[in-house]
Amino acid sequence: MNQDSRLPEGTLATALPVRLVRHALEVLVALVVASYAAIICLQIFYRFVLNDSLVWSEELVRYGLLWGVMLGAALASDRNAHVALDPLRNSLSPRAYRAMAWLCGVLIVLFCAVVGWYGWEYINRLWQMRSPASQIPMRWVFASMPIGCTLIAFFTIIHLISGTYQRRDDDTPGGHAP
Amino acid sequence: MTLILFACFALFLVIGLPLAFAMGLSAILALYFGSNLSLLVIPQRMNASLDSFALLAVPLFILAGELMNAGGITERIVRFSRSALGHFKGGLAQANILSNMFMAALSGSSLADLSAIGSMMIPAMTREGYKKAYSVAITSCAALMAPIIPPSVIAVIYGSMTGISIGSLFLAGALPGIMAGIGIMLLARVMADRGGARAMPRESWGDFGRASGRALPALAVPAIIVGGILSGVFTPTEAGAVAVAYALLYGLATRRHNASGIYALLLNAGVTTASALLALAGASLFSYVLVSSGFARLALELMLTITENPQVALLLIFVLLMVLGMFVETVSALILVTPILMPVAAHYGYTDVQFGIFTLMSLVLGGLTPPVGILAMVACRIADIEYSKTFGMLMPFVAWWAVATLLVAYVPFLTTWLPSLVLN
Repeated sequence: MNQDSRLPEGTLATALPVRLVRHALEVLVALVVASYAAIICLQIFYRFVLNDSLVWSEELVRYGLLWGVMLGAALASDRNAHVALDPLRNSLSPRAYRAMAWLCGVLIVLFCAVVGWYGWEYINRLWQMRSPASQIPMRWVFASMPIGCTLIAFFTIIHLISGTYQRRDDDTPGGHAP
Repeated sequence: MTLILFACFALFLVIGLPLAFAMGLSAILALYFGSNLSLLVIPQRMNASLDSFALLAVPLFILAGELMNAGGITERIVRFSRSALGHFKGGLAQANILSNMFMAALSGSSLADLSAIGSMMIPAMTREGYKKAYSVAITSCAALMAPIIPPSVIAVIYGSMTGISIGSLFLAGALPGIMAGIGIMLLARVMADRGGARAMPRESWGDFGRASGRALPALAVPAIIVGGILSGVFTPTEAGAVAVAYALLYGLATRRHNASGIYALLLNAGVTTASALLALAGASLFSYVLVSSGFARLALELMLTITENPQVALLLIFVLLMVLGMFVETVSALILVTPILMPVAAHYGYTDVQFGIFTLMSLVLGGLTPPVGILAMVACRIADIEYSKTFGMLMPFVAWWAVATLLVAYVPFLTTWLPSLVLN
């Protein structure tokens, strides 16, 4: 189902700029996931049919996974799909639950700030480094962490402000845990 | 350092912080306040835990399962299973378990299988007069096979953490998974009267033949995975990519796929993978703190003071894992304990694939048991019954799963035979 249509209209979570970010992110994540399958199939095709192993494919999909996880985690924040226990959910008053949701939100943003900050420091240390096989600058690869953290914090804050932080009843409990 | 870690972690879980952040943030706080290590290890550990070709099997098998399901394979499998087993007493229950076994070989996660099969089978069973608690117990216990019978998402994660070959973990899980399934079938038969189970009219051989023919394409995926790995043609990740390609072609052939549907499935697979693997990244920080604070060594020493006997230790580990699985979701629990258990397993000299499958089977049991038996809760929601009313029916199945886990722990043949074929 489309995420826009799940959210109440007229809130910040469905404002035009937020929708734009969400759609751009969704297209990116879908492309990254499709590329895992496509590139690995290509790798198999080269090895068996053309008898010629690709050098760059494995490295590329591995780095794709770093981006796919961090961007996908931002979407998971948008959909409230992270795995959580939430044991007090039914025993708290709506007001207390709201306060707790805010506390959780602040903690998530704190996590993102620390990881994002040190992720950026980490890139600075490795500014000149390139990947062994395909010579991709590693700063582009590791940029997934600060950028992903920024987006996770972005969606967390948006949903707190617009009051759409509550775990929806139509979702499976605990999100989409494998 | 360890104290800060556990105190923060417990507090974060209680207020409902998602596990990925709860583990990551408690590790960060422990590092910041409890040590003078550079915080640059945070991005370094997180990146290192995700940067792995083997882990790519996670999104690929999730996607392949979703594509097969959207292509209508679940209906065909359920149809085939009913046709094959429906005329026995408790036939729908048996068909339910058989369907789960097939689906376990297509997808790597319990929750996906449970919602796919449960939403078809549970209402059908209720219509036929089965007790809801019985249907819930059967469906949710049968879903436990999904992460044991290959492919398995948690086996990929376990393999990528321990360095044990994911291919041999997959092969090792096949027999225990099938054994557990047969046990669930027998148990379902024994409890059939209590569950209000009945038989359905026998179908003609012609109908059975047609149903089998239509379910046949489902067998290609396990053949790709097990055959590909056994023959050394594919790595598990490559088998995942081939399974995705096959599932895509299958759905196009059955005319069930369209562009927007596939887009939604890609997104779903992306989000599901990300929430599992972000938890992996968070847990890698958590376990880094556990190991560097010396807690893992302490745990081993503690184990050794309790018992020197490897067989007794195994029993102790089983109880600990089961209790942990009751409270923490499987992937996160696995990531938490693996660094602690690795030195323990090495010290007592357990076979690595056997110990791996044993670990996985012990942890997944928490999906059925209170307080947070996610699988049973989802099944209850489908059946529209209160979770607490199903405990009586669930208990025998929980007990059987525990027995099956201990069989795996003490009978090496179950797990080591299939992988040994590859080496020879």
